[in-house]
Amino acid sequence: MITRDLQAIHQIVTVFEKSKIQSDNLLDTLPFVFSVIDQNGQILRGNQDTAALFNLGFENLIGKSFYSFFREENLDTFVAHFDRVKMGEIEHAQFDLSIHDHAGNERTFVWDLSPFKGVRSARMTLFKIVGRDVTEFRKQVAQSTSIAKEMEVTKAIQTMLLPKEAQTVSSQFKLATYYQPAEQVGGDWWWYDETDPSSPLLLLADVSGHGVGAAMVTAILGASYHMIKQLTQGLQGEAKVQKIFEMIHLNLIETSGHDNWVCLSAVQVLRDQNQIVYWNAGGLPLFIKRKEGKLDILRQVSRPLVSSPVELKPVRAPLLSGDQFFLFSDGVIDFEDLDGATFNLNKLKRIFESYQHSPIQLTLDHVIKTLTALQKPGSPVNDDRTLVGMEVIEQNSINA
Amino acid sequence: MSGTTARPQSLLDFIRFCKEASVSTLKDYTHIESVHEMLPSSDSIILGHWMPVIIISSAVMQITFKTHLMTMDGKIFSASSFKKNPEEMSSQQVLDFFKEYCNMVGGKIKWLLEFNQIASGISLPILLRGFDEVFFSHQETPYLFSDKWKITSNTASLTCSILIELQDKTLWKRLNLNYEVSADQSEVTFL
Repeated sequence: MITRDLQAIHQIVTVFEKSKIQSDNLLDTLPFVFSVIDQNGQILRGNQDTAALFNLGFENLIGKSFYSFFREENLDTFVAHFDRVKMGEIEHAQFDLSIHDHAGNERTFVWDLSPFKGVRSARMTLFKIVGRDVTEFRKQVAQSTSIAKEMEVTKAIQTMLLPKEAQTVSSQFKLATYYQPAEQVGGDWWWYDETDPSSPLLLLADVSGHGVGAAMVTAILGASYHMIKQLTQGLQGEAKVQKIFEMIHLNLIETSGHDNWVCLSAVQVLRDQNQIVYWNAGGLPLFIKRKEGKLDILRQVSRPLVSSPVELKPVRAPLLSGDQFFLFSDGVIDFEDLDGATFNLNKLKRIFESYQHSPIQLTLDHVIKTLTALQKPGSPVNDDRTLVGMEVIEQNSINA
Repeated sequence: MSGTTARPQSLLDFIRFCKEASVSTLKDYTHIESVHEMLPSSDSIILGHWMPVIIISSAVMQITFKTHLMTMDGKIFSASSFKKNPEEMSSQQVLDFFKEYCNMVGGKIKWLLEFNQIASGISLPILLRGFDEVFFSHQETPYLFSDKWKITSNTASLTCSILIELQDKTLWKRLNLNYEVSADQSEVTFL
């Protein structure tokens, strides 16, 4: 009977020993600095990360002073925190403090210092230290902060290059726009120009890609347009727009190379001819929502600027009072809808058709609201989304 | 030696037996002639990275015998038993050797108790970390005594310690252990 009891006890001891070895191995390989120190800062137990940091053999950590890991200028800070824990002023101290590793590299650590409980002797007070190396994390945060600041500047510059008013009412037109970059800054640009009252111009550009790179190209594009507008002051009608497209194309290649293609569309209103001219280099079709509710679509297949020499084939269409026309970037239709399918032009057409006889701002609001509702929840917005529309004011109809 | 009060002679004799048993066992099994006992050189609680432990328990007292060592010292001590150079020894071989060493010393302590008609049981040796020493009591009382001593050779050293817990604090006054028999009783060959 006693023999069987002894066998049982021996089995328990064997299991206990295995369990103990596993626990110790876990502590040894914790992926951060871990040590137990006495009141004088002497290490009683460490782990492999602690030993590696100071290029010590694992077993040689025993008896080493934890103080020796800090340079003089930081040791006082460590001791001050340690004293507060020792005196029982605080249950645990958490603080940032740099150390220098065995190679002399400065590393930033977040330290957590607290009493080590469970010691048998009441006279013996021990403390445990956990240190997490946050050097790389802090660098990344600093870089992110710096990038965020730069993004703010980029965003401010980009905002300067877009019209200040999203809704404009001139003597001839009402203007409504929606502009939503996929990131903080975007690769879409639009402009409304009524400098020449005889042929106002609405432009929309979509630079390939999005984010900072695309935003930089839109900045070049915006700046180019305003410069080219001055240079083409002497030209009239369609010749002027043709020249603007060509010069923007050349200027983009000159300044930013061939990496970023630019889809540029424009609608030129010819007041005296009661027509509009649709110019397109790689952009999406023009939607014309007629006053009576019919939707006309002007298509003109062409290559984006920068990708190939400019070959424009402007398309003309009549423009009646009360008509609305819309330019939009591909971000408007480039998303996954509720059915998991990619949205497309036909679906967008149906949205426009479903909302007839409305002022332009209401039409645009309806389209955006419907697009948002149709987007699959949680699916990302992949591209910058811009929708600009104009409506001919009825009382000043250019159509007699 | 630990303690703040004078220890009875029978206790001192018992501890002396344990020390001699630990030294002679190590000398026999390592075949290192220079092995001898020294006073401990450190007041630190943690005396080594490893701590094999064995417990001898009887109705009147419980004895915990511990060996505190670093791996490198263990390799030097144990290598000759395996007919190897220290650098050829694996950590596992070293730890097995010292668990068996504890078993041998514990066996001698048990033998002494049995020789004096004190029935006792002995545990399996168990391997702990040196740090686990903090979980043992160190405060000497009329029921609790501890001692430690260093064993060195020309090239390596380790520390042994003993913790004696009495069931009856008057035991040492009544106990008169006969330990005239040599502690050097047995021999083990490690393969």
